Amino acid sequence: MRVQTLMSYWLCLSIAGLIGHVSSWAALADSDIQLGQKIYERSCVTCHGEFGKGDGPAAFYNSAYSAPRPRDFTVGNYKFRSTPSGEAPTDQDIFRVLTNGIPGYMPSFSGLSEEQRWQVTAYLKQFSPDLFRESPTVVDLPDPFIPFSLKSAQQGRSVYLEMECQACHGLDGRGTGATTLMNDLADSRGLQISSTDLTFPQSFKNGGTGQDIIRTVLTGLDGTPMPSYEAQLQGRSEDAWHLVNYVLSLSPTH
Amino acid sequence: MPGIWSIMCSPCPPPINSVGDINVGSIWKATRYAPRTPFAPLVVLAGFLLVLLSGICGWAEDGLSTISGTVRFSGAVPPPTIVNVLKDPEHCGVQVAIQPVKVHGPAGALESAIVSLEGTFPMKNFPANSDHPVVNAQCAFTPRVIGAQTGQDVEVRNQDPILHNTHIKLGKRTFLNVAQVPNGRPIIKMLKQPGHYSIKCDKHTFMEGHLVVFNHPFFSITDSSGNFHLAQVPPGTYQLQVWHETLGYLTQNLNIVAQSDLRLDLVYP
Repeated sequence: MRVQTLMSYWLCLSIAGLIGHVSSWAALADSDIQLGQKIYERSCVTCHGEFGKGDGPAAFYNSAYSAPRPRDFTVGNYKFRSTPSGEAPTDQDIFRVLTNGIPGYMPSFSGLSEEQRWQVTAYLKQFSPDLFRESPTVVDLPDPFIPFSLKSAQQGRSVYLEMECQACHGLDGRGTGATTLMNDLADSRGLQISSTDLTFPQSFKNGGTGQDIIRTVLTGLDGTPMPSYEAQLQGRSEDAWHLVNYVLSLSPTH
Repeated sequence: MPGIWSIMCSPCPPPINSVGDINVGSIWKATRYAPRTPFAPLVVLAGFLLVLLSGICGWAEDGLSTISGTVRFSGAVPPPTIVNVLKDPEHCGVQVAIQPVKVHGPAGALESAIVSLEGTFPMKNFPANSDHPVVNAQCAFTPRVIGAQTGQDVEVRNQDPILHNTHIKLGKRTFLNVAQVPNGRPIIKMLKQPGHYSIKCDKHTFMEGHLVVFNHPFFSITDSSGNFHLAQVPPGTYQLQVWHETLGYLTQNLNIVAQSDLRLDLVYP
């Protein structure tokens, strides 16, 4: 009986300890969000606005009537993801954009410590909590990887045409395809946008490395007309990398 | 599924408070006089569940109603919108005529209106196991208007020999934005949120479709005779809504009593 009593005490203490431990995790997460909010209000609010609607004061002066405007986090459209179209980005996706910035538009926040960038990441997710209710699934990159070569790039040209990338990006990749020239492309706000000039990878908003390009091709850019090619390139790993290598070959520096 | 409910509820157990009247030897009697048995709480719990099920099955067997009828359009049908096609005219045609108001016959039967019920339903989890194709065919979405239920899949296909860029949004949020090359793979995605989804092709901007998703099965799309049919409707007070993509909403409050067969004639505008 005494042993049973002792065991009961031990069990109660264990459960209490476990509850305390879990509470401390939750408290840590909450404090992360609060700290992220403080950083957001200092560093991001000028463009993205107090409530994350992309309507900060600088947004008006930067691009009141033209795209791209600062992201409205409350809508839940995240362009730069490693996840399928329509899904939430991973924390790493948000962290990567914070770290790298968006060429020509958003500065890099690598000046913040790594911990601070994770805190901002935690806070940004609060603007569209329903989007982040489920854990996102990352799209697999095509395997095997095909490194850059002129031969691969030449093969990629036919994939480029088969996927009709020229409809928007043009035959020469300069973003002057028929759809672009007809001013038919619009973002989720209805603002007219142009196609990316593929001959200038420094301007690629989602990054200009081969890894970045394949991620963009497979996942698309939600909130823009750039679609996901994941299903069309499924089971065609080599063609996917040939396409990437063709895009890389359009750059004069390659 | 009345058959299944019948099996589960027949014979329905007696209420717990009538235990003393049950014949000696039944499990209820044994439970009553052997309270120290470790199974007693389980038996009582099972009894509660069975009584609860008996109530539900009573509703399921006896209470379901049917609402059916027609939706009509009265007046002059607006002319179709004529669009000059600048991309892929060799396949899409030089011009397309878009007529969302499809009216048939002298009575003015209206096709592709969605009739649904709004309200609180006794059951929450409705089975949903079929999918809904969204087909790019002849530079149009077929069907143009779709009604679906959460938990069902939408399957996007391309039957045309040209690229389509199917972009489905719920409000401003992208649900699916996919390229579809000729003979490309279909894309399947589950509908998790109710609401009104717009379907567009970013390449052929005149292409348009609508996907309306409900979290219950009480909806119907009118056929070419304007007919709709809502089956197995539980008794209750609801608002019947008719939605058409250009004509908007018609609404009517309904009080559905058990085992009724209601017929309605609904007329736009």
